[in-house]
This record gives sequence, C-alpha cells and structure tokens, in this order.
Amino acid sequence: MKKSWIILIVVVIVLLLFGRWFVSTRNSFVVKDEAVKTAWSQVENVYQRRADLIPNLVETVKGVAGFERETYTAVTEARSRVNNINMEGVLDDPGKFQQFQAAQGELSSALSRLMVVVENYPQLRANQNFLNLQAQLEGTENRIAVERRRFNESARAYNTAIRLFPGSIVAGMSGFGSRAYFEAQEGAEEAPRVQF
Amino acid sequence: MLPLSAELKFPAQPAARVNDYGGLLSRQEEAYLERKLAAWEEATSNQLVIATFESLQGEALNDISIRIAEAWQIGHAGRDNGVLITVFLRDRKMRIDVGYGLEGVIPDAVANDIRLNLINPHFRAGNYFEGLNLAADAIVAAVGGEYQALRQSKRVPAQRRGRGGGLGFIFMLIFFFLLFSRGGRGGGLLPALFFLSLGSGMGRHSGGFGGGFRGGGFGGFGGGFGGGGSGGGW
Repeated sequence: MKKSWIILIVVVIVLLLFGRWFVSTRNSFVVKDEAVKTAWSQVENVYQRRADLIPNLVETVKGVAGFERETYTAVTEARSRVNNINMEGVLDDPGKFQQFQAAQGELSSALSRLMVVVENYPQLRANQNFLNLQAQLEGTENRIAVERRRFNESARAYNTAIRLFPGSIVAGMSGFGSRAYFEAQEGAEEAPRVQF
Repeated sequence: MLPLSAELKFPAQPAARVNDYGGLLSRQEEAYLERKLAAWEEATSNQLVIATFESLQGEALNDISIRIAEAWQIGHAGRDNGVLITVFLRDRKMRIDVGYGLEGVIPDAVANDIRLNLINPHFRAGNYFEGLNLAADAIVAAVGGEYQALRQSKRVPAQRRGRGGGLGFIFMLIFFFLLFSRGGRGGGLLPALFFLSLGSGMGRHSGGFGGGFRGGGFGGFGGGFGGGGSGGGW
C-alpha cells in the first residue's frame, strides 16, 4: 500500500514536470513567432512606404525626362504587380513568400534603372522636389534592408528554437512550421544611388 | 578596440558621446563637441553620438552604422531620440543615422542636406571638426523642441528576471504532498496540473536596458533606429 503511493507520487511528479516543460516550451515558441510577425509587419510597412513614394517620383521624372517612357512605365508596372499580390497567409506559405520577394526585387531593379537613367538629366539635379524624393527613396531602401535583416534574425531565432531537440517534439505536436528567410539580393544592401 | 562580437568588429558601448577612434579631431575639438552634446542631452534628453573610425573594415556603410547604433543603444527607449554620426576616414564615407523618434523632424531629405551641404565640403577640405560641428548645430536646430528633459525618476533600473515561477512550483509540490498525505482524492490532479502549467508562464519578463549615467559620460537607453538618415561618400 505504502509502496504504491510512492510510485503514484513519482509518476505524478514526472507528469507534472513534463507538462510544465511542454507548456513553457510551447509558450516560448509563441513568443518567438509573435516576434517574427511583428518584424514582418515592419517589413510590409517599409515596402509600402516605398510604393507610396513611386507615383510622385514617376510624375517628377516624367515632367523632365518624358521620353524615358520605357523606364518609368517599368517602375509603374512593377509597383502595380507588387500591389496586386495577395498578402493573405504569406508568412505560412513559402511559395507566396518567394513570390512577394521576387515582385519586390523586380520593383527594386526597375527603380534603380530609373535612378541611373535620370543621371543624364541635369534639370533633375537642380529640381529640389526630385532631390527630396531621391533622398527619401535612398532612406526607404535602407529601411527595407534594415527590416529585412531584422525579420531574418527573428525568423532564424524562431526556426532554430523549433528545430532543436527536444523542443522540436513540442513544435511538431503543436504544429509550429518553420518560417522563410529573405535571401540576399545583388546590390540590395546598397540603396540605388545617383552621384551628382 | 574591443570587439563587440565576432561579427561586429567595432567597439562596445563607449563612455563618451564623441568617440574619435579614427583620430580626426584634436583633443580640444573632441572635448568641445562632447560638452556641446552633453549639454543638449541634459536639456532635451536627445542623444547625438559621433564616432569616427579608420575604415569600414570591409563592412557596408549602411549596415554597420545601424548596427553600431543598435549596439550602443543611442536614445531613450520609447522616445527613440538618438542620432548617430559615423565617419570612416579611409573609405571617405560617412552616415547620419536618425532614430525613429526624430525621423519626423530630421527626415531623410534634411539629413541628406546636412550631409551634402554642411559636412561634405568641409570633409573634402580635411576640416573634419568644422563639418561635424556644423552638422551638430544643424541637427540641434532641426530637432528644436521635439523632446524635453527627462526627470531623474524616469530612469528605472533594469528589471531582473522574476523567480516567481520556481517558487510557485515548490509551493505546488508542497500543496500536493499535503493533499495526498491527508488522503485527498485524485480528482485534484488535473486542475493542479493546469495551475502548475500556468505558473510556468510567469516570471519570464527579462530585463530592460542596462544603460545608466556614468559620471556625466554617455550611456545608451535603448532608443530604436529604423534605417532613416543619409549616408554616402564625400
């Protein structure tokens, strides 16, 4: 009788310890996942900031360098493709994430082509409105780089946590999937820059 | 230089606002700027930090400057009112990083303007002090009355990690043993398990920031940066 009590108590304690560990591990994943989502919303914000700059920028360039039609329509088109992406569940779907990244990458290169082309227009260099837009674009590209790095850092922390044994058991049982990263893009670290 | 970490080859948080690792300033010039920035911080709580380096050590300008700003925790948490000026002598590049809270008064175009029109001409002529001094004045002027001085009491010590979870667990165990020794029924098991699990989520808020005033020197207070500002060659 006494022995079975001891066994029961031991079993209960082991169960308790396991339950406690399970819940706290799971909670730590939730915290890390929330950090990833916060970082993601920052990424969306800065990309949106860039998209908001574009109409103004294109208008200004159009006014001065009207016959560079091809270059600035490429920017406008890339921007509308970015805006048309359905962002629903983009974090949970690596394919969608890839698509988002590719579309933003296209916009980046269309923009840097535009900024290279306008180098040929001295009128733009004297245009204060254009210079301000250019400074804003540079700053925004830098913000994008910063937020992408922060997103990658938080996604890495989360992915490492859910993959490490024994936490991986908890992650598997509770359905925590891994998050995709932004890949480094050529020339993405440096904002497109026009030297006057 | 003290390496901050394996990947960041720049010094950990310094004790001064003007850090001339690159040897661009005379001692008097450094002290003059330091006094100016300390007085500004005293009056407004805004932190402007200047750091000069010999070279980028192969890092990208925009990337390294914001990582320094983050590592030194320039500005106050919540206000995010820090500005960092970094200068890399051999690469002939410099950058002004503006904290989130000052992006409104120092938008990128203004930072760009300060860089192109105040800093670059003097830097090209080798007058580093002149460029930095004018930039500091322009930043002070642009910020204007954006923030007021903090009250002393605002500086709370960094929170320590609570120990409530561990203690709670021990109490639970004692409770359990009491329950069993009194011949209680097993029906208490599940609720107890639940409470125990709840307890594990508590006491998990680890600390704020480790900054603090060190005899009038510099201490970062966890201000945030988002990549605003302007940088480039001179």
